[in-house]
Amino acid sequence: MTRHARCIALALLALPGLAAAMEALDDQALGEISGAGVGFFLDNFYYDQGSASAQVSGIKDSQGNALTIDFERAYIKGEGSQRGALDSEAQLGTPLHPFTLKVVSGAAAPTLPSGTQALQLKTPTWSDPLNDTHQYGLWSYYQGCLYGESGCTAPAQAQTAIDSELGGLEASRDTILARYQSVGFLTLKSGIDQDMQLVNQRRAQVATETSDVQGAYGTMETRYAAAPAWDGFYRKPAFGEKYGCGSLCLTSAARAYNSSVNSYQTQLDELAAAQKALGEAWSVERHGYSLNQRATDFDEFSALCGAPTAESPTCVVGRIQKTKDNRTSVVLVATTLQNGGTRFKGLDIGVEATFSLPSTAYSMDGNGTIIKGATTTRSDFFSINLEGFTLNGAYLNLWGDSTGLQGEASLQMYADKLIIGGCRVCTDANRAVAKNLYFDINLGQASLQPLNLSVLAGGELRLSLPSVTWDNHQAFYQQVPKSNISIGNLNLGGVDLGSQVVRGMRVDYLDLRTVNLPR
Amino acid sequence: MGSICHSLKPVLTLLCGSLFVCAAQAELRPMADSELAEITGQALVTLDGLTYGGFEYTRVNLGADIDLLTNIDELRLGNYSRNQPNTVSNQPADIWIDNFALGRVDNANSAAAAVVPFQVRDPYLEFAFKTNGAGVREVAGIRLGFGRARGDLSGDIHSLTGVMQGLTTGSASTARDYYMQQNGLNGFTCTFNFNCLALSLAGNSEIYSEVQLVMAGTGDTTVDGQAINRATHIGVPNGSSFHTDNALLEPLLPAIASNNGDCMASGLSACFPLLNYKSIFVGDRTQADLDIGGAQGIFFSLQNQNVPWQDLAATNNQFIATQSGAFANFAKTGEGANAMYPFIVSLYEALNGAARVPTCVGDLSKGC
Repeated sequence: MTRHARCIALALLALPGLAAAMEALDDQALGEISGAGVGFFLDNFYYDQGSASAQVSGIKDSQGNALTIDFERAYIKGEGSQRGALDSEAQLGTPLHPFTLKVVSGAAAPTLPSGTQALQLKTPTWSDPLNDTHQYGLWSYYQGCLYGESGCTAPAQAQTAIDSELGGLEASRDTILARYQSVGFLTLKSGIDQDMQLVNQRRAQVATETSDVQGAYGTMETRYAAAPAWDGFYRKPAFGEKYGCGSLCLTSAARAYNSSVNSYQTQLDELAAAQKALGEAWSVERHGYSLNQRATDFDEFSALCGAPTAESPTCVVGRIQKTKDNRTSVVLVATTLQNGGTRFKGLDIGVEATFSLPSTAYSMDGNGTIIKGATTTRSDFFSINLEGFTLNGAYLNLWGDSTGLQGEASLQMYADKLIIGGCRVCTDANRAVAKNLYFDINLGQASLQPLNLSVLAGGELRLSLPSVTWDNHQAFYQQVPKSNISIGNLNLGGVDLGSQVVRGMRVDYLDLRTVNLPR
Repeated sequence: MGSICHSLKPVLTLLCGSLFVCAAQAELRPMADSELAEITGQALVTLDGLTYGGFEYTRVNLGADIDLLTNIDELRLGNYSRNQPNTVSNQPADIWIDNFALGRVDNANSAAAAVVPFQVRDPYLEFAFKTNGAGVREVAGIRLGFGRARGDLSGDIHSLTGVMQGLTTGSASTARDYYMQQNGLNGFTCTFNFNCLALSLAGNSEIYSEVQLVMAGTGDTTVDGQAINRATHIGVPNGSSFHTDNALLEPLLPAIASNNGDCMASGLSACFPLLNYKSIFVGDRTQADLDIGGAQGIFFSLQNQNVPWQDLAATNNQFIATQSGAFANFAKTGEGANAMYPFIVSLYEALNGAARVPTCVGDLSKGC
């Protein structure tokens, strides 16, 4: 078994004072350190599993059959390692930009409730546009292609893309503004609120009638089950139809069933009337537009520009302003790249494994019916590689209170490429290749929505985020950060499927409990 | 790095080396039964393998129950240039939903505001592989799905590719009233209009129809035999009609309430902009128990060809055909009386559009 690991220097730094000239600490000096925290970085290292092997077992399929995973290769090297083929040395942090582990409070962790201290792990943090993950990740999504590759040498391509998006949003805003210019947005809102009172009344009526229909249907089902096969000359009808004897049936069960059919029909009629009335309430017109249209327009405008506070509203918050802010970052990154700026190099990380797992064969027979066949063991090769991976600006704050372990976390991850393969000898044209991969995942906010981690009595893990409330909703929507996931371009087996994005995601409430599988 | 690195180098090299080497060379010993008995394990993850149609699949299942309320500014999948006969709009992406939300807020603009979460059970991630003509095993697709899901799904749906099957149901009288409104008829003139008269005769009989993603203007679900993509409308498919359980009325409906390729049924619009459906309810609104009321088989996928994904909602070994690009599956499960649709809208909603349920606390309905 051979294994290669090289570690030239891992520096432990006492904080603060990272920029001061560094000297080795002796035991006495170390003894004087009082927990202000440590900073550390890894310099000029690489890791390569080489020909060593590792096996994971104990995992099962949904039927309880065992499977194994043999890890054949793993590496962590510096960017440019050609998927681990070269022993490029990597660097995690620098003396000026180290990982830090320390106890924080006050200005160092402004979201923490007053008087609370937290243990904070923070990754290297840069503020320049190319190494700040948020700014570069944002630019990379709009850029789409991997900068520096053939055909991708114009960083302003991202600027064109975000300008196009911004233009579309502003056009939507202008359409709504023009529609209600003579009305005024406060007047518009007032009319909506008045008309919504009727809608809410009728919604409640529809809910009541829906419940009544369900109740009547249940009664009809019960009585149908108890109804006789024959009532005199009348055979038991299909469900929902009545015995021909009406209210003069011989058996009480048949009469009761017929009655329940009548009741069900009556409830259906009442529901139809309630639905119709609700539809009419939504159709009430003011200023030439139905309530449905007015409410839609007002909501759309509010999302674009923030809730109007004047008859002629401004547009200084909302999605348009957010996009303008993003544009500033995109332009800054593009300009810096045009001026020859470069990024601090990231990591190349890779894992190759073979899965031996039970696999069930399905096939279609001559009649077009899909048949479930035998289950045999399949051996699958699987690889994951990350190129140019950085984790700049991420942090995890942990603290405890009477409700258990609390936290807030921000994952800021960017990679030039994520490559997933199922073949040993092949090219990227046979793999899944995601370029410009950016994860901006924010979970929890210490004051308004602390992330709670706990273990339940049965061993299940529980992760929860308390809900936004009426009392805190304004601060919540201003301060609890949103998350973003984007891929500049996804290529599957040589086919481009373009960009993919989940943008501006906020989890307003979460309760996640793990469960043993199979259930 | 200077002197500190030089002086720390031996120590740190040893430290790093010992970490790696110890992890690799520590002797592994089996645990005794008594030791194992003290451990409470969690089988959070299972892996499933299957093959079908030349594809190999590997699915990673996560055992979890998740309740959540989330608001997302924009969800856009498959954002690339596409110009095929079955591309039925000029939208830029296969799936594009703004102000996407899962869950809702009741009494949103009052102190009684209460979150009603969206429920998800057992999410999974699945890969599809296919060996190409040169014998190379390629990645063909990736999908994210849910064992069960139930709750309000909201958004401004600009474009959707995949399967979205719903049921629209309501009273014939609702259809008649809408028809009269659209055609400027009154109670008297209605009697001289065949469609209006037929709907009048139907009274309050319940009528219903399955709705699917369709091409605007025609109601086509396929073009040249290929399923449409980038749909902007949903409705009664071309050639389909409303139905009723009223045995007397049912034979009449195909004549008076069919979409014959003009997106009209009985003189009523039969195709509706997806943007009008601002909120739908996934699963059975009346069954709070996720085991019963949760919709099965919902997934989002990306694939480079027509990958058939296993239909986890089906009990008869079905696979769902997809097409290259991004794909969303909100298909019904079961057939006939046992069919459960991912969403059911009353006819008045289909005709007038489904209003968005509040997804934010306060006076913003969306965009919070």
